[in-house]
Amino acid sequence: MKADNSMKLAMLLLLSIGAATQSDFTPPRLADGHPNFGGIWMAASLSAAFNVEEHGASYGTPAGPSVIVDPPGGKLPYLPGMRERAADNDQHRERDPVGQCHMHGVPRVMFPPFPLEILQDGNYVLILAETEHGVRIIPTDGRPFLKDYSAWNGDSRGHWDGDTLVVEVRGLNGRGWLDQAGNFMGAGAHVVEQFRLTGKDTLDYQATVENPAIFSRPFTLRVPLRRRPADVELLEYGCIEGERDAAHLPPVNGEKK
Amino acid sequence: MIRSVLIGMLFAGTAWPQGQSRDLRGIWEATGTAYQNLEGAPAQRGQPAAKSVVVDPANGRIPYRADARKSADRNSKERETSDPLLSCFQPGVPRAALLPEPFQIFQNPDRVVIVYQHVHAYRVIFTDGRPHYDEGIDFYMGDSRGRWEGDTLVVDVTNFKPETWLDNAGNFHGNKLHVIERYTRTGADTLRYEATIEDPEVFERAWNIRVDLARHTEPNFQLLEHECERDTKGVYRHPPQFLK
Amino acid sequence: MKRIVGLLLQILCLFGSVLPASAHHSFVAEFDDKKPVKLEGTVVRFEFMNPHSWIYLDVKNPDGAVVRWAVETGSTNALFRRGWRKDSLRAGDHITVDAFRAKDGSNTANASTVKLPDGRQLSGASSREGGQ
Repeated sequence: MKADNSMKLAMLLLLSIGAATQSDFTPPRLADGHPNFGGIWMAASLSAAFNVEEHGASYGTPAGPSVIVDPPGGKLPYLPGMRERAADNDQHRERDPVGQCHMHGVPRVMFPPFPLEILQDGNYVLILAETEHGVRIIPTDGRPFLKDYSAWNGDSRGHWDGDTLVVEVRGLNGRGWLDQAGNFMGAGAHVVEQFRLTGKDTLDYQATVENPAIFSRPFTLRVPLRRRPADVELLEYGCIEGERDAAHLPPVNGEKK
Repeated sequence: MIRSVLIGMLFAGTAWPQGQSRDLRGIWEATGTAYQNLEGAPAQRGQPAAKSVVVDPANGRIPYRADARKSADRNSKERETSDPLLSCFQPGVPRAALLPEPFQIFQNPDRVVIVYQHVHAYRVIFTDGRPHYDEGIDFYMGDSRGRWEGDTLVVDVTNFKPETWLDNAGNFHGNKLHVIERYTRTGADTLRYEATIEDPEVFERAWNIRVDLARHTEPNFQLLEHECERDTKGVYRHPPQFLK
Repeated sequence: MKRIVGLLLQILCLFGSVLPASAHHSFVAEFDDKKPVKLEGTVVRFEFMNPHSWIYLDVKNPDGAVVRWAVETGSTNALFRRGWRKDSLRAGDHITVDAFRAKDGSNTANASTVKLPDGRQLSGASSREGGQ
């Protein structure tokens, strides 16, 4: 199947990038021998949350580098016409689905400016996001993906490649943005992620995204996560319950005011 | 003792070693209709009578203060518009455990995490003895601290926001809600859920409910994403497949 | 590679303990950072909640008219981690707020700093500069 071959290519690309930056760190292990990712984590740099590409200071947020490690040059490989759509999003940030309390989607959920909790339990890796009390339940027991599934955080399946957790994500509804600047992935995107501990308090996170309807080739971004201080716990983040900004935002796509 | 022997006999077919049961992992769901009304309901419109899940007081009635009972009745009349669950609020505790929707329990040495399919609410229940938050912050799902008593996980839940209901019928609580949950395995695929509920501003005394939960044993069963959507009038709504 | 690392380090130092922007929505969608406003008034209601806490404030205009303002702060979580509690503001408290006005012209603003009755000045954990 074409999709499977592309996914294999994406995984190869991702793993080869990972291999090039292999670290010598020996992680703490759980009883089953796998590395222990458990704890509270957050992106070491918030730059990606604003814009995954290199960007200057604007709207009160500081400048930042690209987190796209492939293609070289750090730019999203948009097909013709797609960058214009992203630019249009940027001019209409009221459309950001996160502003309507939606979960962030993958990979954006991994680098918001709020903490994440990772917890392993047998054949599951659980990722809790403080924002929107988001959840990713990642089985590692080899079960098949759901069919005809469409969800904000998609459907994830993980497996171990040595000390690297590799997660494939399907079933993303494509409505989420990639960052606050309006970069997007579109429906039908496939994502392959790689999680690896590189130090006591550092977790290397990479994601390869593929969507031939939006991009000319797969791209890979890399956002190192840093462990939060020991006294940080996730706090409940109810969003819908208290959402009051919508009345002050320009109407979004058919909404009546 | 006799009761546990009887339960053991009841589930003898599933050959579950009762002793090793500090394992609550899995995907569970309440059977029955407690989510509609904790106090039960008479037979109506082709539906059989539903028994109260309030086991204490023995008459199955929530021991409201007189003024609070009036508020509950008013909620019941207005429930089609006033139920916070319909507005996509997180369900609160104990309502989350009673919903006709699955939830998954994960366990680590220092915490138990419960993820509810319903609007993907979750609770982190610390079992390492750390104290509750001070009074300065409230949560829809409360603040949970757990400990083991024999094979029962006892969870103390405080710091509640008052805006959740206890069921579809408008039974409610206030800001001083305090819930003590007890999770006990009763078989390979069954979990007994009990909760002591108190709020001196709403109830005359503490009261208890008891509900039995069943494990989802379908192959490859998983929680689905239940995310509300805002309609063109700006009102959040549940996806239709999750409405019951 | 070194240049990128250097740049990253600069960013990290810049943020350090500065709180990151609110993930809820971009400040710019709703507020205008070219329209600063200083509000001095009496708290009517303080709602300590996510995604943003809200301070409802009665402000007396120079002409004597009292105007009700709705001032948005960062999320509860951001405020809590900065030492705010649900009773940090009470009805009747006199406070001063430095904020940015909403683009739609309503009496709505996004707080940069809030000066509390006890004289403490707290960051509003605004989504503009950081709100984690």
